[in-house]
Amino acid sequence: MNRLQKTAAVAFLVTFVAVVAVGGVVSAVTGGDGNTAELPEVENPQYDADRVSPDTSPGTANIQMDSSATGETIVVSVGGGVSERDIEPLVNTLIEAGAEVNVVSKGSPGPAIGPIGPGPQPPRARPPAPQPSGGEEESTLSEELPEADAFMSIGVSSYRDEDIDAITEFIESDGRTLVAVNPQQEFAPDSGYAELYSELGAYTESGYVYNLAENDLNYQRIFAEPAGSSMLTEGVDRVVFDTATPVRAASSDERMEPIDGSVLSTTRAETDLPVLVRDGDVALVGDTGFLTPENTQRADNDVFVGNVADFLVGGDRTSGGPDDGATGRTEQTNDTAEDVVTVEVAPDGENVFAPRVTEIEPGTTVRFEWKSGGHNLVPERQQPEDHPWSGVEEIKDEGFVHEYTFEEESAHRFVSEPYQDEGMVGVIVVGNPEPP
Amino acid sequence: MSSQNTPGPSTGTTGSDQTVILVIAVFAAVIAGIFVVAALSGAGITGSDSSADGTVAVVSIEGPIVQPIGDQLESELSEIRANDSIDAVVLEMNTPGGAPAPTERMYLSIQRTSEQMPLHASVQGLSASAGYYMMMPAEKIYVLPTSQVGSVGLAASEPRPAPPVEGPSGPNKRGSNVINDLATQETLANVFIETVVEQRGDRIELSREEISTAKVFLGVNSVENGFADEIGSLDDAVADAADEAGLDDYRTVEREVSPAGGLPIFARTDHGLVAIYDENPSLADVKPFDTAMVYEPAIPHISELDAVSASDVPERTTTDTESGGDQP
Repeated sequence: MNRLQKTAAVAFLVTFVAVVAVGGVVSAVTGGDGNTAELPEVENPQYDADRVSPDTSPGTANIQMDSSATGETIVVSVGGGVSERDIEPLVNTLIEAGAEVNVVSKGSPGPAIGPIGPGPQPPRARPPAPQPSGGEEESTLSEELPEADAFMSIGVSSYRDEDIDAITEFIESDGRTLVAVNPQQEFAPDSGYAELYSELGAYTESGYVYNLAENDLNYQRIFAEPAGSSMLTEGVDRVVFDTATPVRAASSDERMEPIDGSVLSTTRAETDLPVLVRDGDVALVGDTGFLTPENTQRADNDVFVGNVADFLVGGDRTSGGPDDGATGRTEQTNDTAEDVVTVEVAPDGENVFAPRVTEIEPGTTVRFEWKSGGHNLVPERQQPEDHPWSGVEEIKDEGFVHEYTFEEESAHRFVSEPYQDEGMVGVIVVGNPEPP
Repeated sequence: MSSQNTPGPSTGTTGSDQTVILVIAVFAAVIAGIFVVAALSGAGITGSDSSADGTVAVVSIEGPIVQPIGDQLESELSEIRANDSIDAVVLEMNTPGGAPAPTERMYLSIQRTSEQMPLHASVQGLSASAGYYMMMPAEKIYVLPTSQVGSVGLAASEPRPAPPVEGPSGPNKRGSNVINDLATQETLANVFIETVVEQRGDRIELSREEISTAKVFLGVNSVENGFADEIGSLDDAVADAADEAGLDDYRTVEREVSPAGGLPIFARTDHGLVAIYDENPSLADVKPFDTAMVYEPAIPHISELDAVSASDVPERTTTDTESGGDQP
C-alpha cells in the first residue's frame, strides 16, 4: 500500500468517526433516542390492596363432639387422592372420643386433572399401601364392615363387587354411612358407584357448583347453608366446600344448599341443588375437601366436622359386632323410617316433580313444596283406585305446601295438569302395593 | 467502499491528484457517516414519503408474554413517545398471554403512550388473558370477526399442603400456607378483573361476575358486549389512528418487539406451565410458571411439542443403526 492510499484511508476513517460521533451526540441531544422526555401521568386506582385482596384471616378450628364414642368402631375408606392428613381432623376427633378408627385405602388414585387444571404434586403423605388388585384375598371392607358401627367413604374412585356387597349389607343393617365424593368421581371409569348410589338412595349430578360473586378465596370454594332438619348441620351457619358436585336423594331429611348466586358448571345456570343430603342413617356429600386441616378453619366447617363425628357414632346398628354369618342380612327395622319426605314441584322453574319417583313406607307424610307457581297436583291413576288422596286441583303459586300422610300400601301417579303434556308426572309408591 | 472509487495504485501521482483523492475520501466518509447515524437513530429513512404528514408506528406483540418482551416493549414505546416524527401507534396483537410482571410493564407503558398520542390495538387471531390486559388502555380495540379476546383471570394450580422443610429461617421462606396461596391467587386475579372494570367498565355490558368467568369471546361477540370496539383489520386500525392524529397522509413504520426466532416457547406440562428458552433446553432454559395470565387452550402441551420435534429423531436413529449395521 503506497502513501497515497494510506493517506486516503486515514482521512476516510478520521472523518467517518468524527461524523458518527458528532451525529450521534446531536441525535441523542435532540431526543431521537433518549429517555429524557417526561413520563405521562397514568392513573390506576384499581391497584389498591383494599380493593383486590380477599380476607385471609384464619378462623378457629374447634372441633367438638357431644357424644362419647367409646367402643365404637369406625371404618374409613379413603381413595388414592386422599391422604390421611386430609381426614386427620375428623379421625383425631373420633379417637379422642374413644372410638376405634380403621382407615382402609381403596381404589386407584382418582383422575389427576380437576376442574382447575393440572396442579403440582408436592410430596404428600400417602395412604396405606393399596391392596394388590386381582388377588384372591377377601375384600378388606367385607372383613371390616360386619364389625363396624359406622362407615365413611371419602374420595374413593371405584369399588369392587365384594366391597359393594359389604357396604350394602352394612347399610341394610342401619349402619351409619357417610359417603363423600368429588366432581372428578364421575370421570372414573367402571367405578361401581351406580350400584352404591342405588343402595344409598342418593346420587350425584354431573358438574360442580361455583360462585363467582361470593366465595371463600376461589370460585369453586363455595359456601353452603343448611336446609331441612338439623343433625349434621346443627349450629352450622355456613360451610365451605372446595369443589363440590351436586347431590340428590330420593328423599332427604337434611340438606346443605349452596348460597344464592351459586352456579352449576354444566348448565352455567343458578342452582340450589344440595351438595349434601342425609336420609336417615346415610348421607352423601359432594365434596371431599371440607374436612382438611386448612378447611376446618374456614366458616363453620369445624362445627360441621364435629357433627359428622357425632353422626357416625350415634347410630344404632341392628347387628353390630361379630356376625355369625348365618344370614348376613338383617331385617330392616321401621324405627328409622322417614316420617316426612319432600317432593318438590317444579324446582328451578323446570316442569318436573323432584324426585320423580318416591318410595316410602306406610305412615309416611309426603310434603309437596311448590318451588315455582302455575302448577296443580292431580292423581292421574291410583292403586287402589278408590284411594282417598285427591291432591290439589287448584293452580297454586310458589311457596304453596301440600302434605298428605299415606297410611296404607298404595301407588299413585300424579300430574301437574297444565304441564301434563310436557311429561310433568310423578309417582309415589307406598310400601309394596299389590300390582293392579 | 470509498477506496474502491479511488484510482488504482500508480507510482507517479501528482500533488493535485492527491488532493482530489483526499477530497473524494472525505466526501465519501461524510456520506457514509450520515447514513450510519441516520440508521442508528431509527428515523427510518427507508420507505420515506416526502408528501406524508406523519407516521403511524405499528408495534407487533406476538407470542407468549415472558421476558424479555416486557423490557423490549417498554423501551420501544418510550422511544416512540420521544420520537417527534411518530404521531400514532397501533398494536398488532397476537398472543395467548403470559406472566403477570412483564404484562404489567407492557400495560403501563401502553397506558403512558396512549396518554400522549392516539393508540389503537388490532387483534389478529388471539389476544387473550395477558394480551387482553395490556391492550386495554388502547383507545379502540379492533378485532377480526373471529379474533378471540378475553379470558380475564389467572391460570393457576391448586395450592396443596406440603410437608415441612427444615432449614429455612422462616415458615414462608420455602413453602407456604394453602390459605395464603389461595388468597394470593385470588388477589392476582382480582387485579386483572378490577383493571378491566376500571379500563373498560363503561363499555363492557357484562357484570363483574360475568367478566370473571374468564370467558373468551369471538370478535363478533366482543364488539357486541364491549370487550372490543370495532370489527376491522390492521389497516382499519392504522387509518383510524392516523385520522385521530390529524394526518391526511401518513406512512407506517413497523416495530417488532417479539424475540427473533420465536423463543421462548410456552408449553403445558402435567405440573403446570413452563417457558422454554432454548431449542435444546437444559434445565436452566425451562422456567415453570405457578401463576400465569394465559388462555390455556392456546398453549400446546409438551407432548405436542415432542411430536413435532420428534420427526428428526427417528432419522438419526435409523442412520445410527444403519451405520452400525454396516460395520461387522
